[in-house]
Amino acid sequence: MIVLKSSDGETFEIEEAVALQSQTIAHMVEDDCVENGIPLANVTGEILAKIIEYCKKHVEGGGGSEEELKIWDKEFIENIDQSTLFNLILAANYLNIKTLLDLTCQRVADMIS
Amino acid sequence: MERLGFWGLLMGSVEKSSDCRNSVALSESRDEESSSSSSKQVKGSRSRNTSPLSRVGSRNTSPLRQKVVKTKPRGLEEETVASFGKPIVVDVQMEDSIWAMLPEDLLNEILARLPPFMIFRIRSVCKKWNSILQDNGFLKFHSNVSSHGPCLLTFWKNSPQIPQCSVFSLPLKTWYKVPFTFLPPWAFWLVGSSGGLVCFSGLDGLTFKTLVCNPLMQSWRTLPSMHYNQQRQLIMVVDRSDKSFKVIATSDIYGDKSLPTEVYDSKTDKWSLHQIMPAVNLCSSKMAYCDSRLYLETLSPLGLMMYRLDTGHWEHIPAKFPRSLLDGYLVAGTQKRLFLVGRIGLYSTLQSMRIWELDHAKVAWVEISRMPPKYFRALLRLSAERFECFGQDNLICFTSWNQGKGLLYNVDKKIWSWISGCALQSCNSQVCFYEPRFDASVH
Repeated sequence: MIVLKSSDGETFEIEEAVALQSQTIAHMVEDDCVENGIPLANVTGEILAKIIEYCKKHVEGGGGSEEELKIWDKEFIENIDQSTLFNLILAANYLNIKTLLDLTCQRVADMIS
Repeated sequence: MERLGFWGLLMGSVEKSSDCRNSVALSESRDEESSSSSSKQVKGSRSRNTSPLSRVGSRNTSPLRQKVVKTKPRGLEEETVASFGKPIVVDVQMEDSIWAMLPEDLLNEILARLPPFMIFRIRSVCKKWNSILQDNGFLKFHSNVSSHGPCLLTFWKNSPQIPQCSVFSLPLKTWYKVPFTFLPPWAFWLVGSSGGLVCFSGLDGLTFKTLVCNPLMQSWRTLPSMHYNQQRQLIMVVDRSDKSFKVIATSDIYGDKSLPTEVYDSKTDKWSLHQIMPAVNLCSSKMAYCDSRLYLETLSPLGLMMYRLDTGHWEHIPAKFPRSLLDGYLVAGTQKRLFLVGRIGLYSTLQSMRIWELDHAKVAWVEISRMPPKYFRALLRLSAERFECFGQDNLICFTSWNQGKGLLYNVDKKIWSWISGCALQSCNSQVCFYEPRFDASVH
């Protein structure tokens, strides 16, 4: 299990497989500096919760069909306000979660076009 | 780039561009109107296809009424109606205060996911956006973004000979008008498109000239004159990995002179001379380029010639052409694939459209597909009707002169489909596949 600490002091304990979807966290685990939990100074608790929700669903392909996952992604991304979306983009970039960055940026592109 | 109010600019320009969209839609319909009226005149003078069926759903002349063009005859399951009216847009108010803080690299990520034309339109509305399209970071990023999808570029001239261009995006099923006022005022016609560049050739007074342009970036350049500078068959090929392009000039357009093949290389900005094509009575205009080889169909006798870029020499490919082939078109596929498309049987009621592929090893044309009769009848109502055929990336497109319909064949998936939402006026326009790319440079 890995412990993540948000910028506003919330802690989240999650399975390693979930956390490793973030390349940033994966590198930290490799470098073995996760003794007392991983501090994420750029991510608030609210956003981190959302990210964990996403990562949990996407562990090993999501456990459902590709179609089901797409539908879940659509629901996930369409029900958030712009402020959250903005912060998710920054966080997905910082945590280096490619699929989430893809999803969020595509959402903004769709909103503009 | 100013951060504050930046997204306000984007929003402002998005609002404008939705106005722009309205005006684009209207101007589209106005252009439709003017070119449809000119095409009506042409129809009259040609007295081709006078069947009333061909006028089903033909363009109404009111610019304000939503334009509806039926793209298939009754009875087929595919989509029926193309509409050029105002597209339905769900307006999203982007909150400027939030998005203004987005760092540039993430902005690039978002822009890369916008259809190229949206960026194009925003650019034409707001001058500050010009700078982002020149920005090296943006271009470099964008060059790695996968292609938006196959698009069709159609080029025609209005009654007073003003060039017009529209691009139809197959993935988005929408038309986008491309302003062509940036091009010089000679009488040019479309040669073709490759890797985001479009090539035109024509006469500037009495001089034959060739130009390449990137419609998205509104950039263009005239190429230097050839050694034998007359109206010749041309083909342009772009090498994206090398960031260069070549233009190959083969025979004289009238086929009555033996000219050395010339190749233009953008890296040297020069034409080089190569072998004269071995004497053949008549060369068709049908050429296709794949795998560094240019294939050309000769008409009399019906045969296949191949030009190798690396050696600069022509060879005859002794592949036997199908008997009683009419209107054979050469189409290049991916990698080394070469297709031949044409009709068999002019006067028989069992006329069919077939596709062959060249088996390079056996040096023979092998039939790989046949157009199902229902599509054939829908595309070409009269068996003698003319059609155009071109292709890219294992997609073969058929357009019929009188009906403005497009039929697509996906060679890999073996699927025939009408191009929905698309009405092409082929009788006085040229069409080709086009890949919109910001980073295609004319230099």
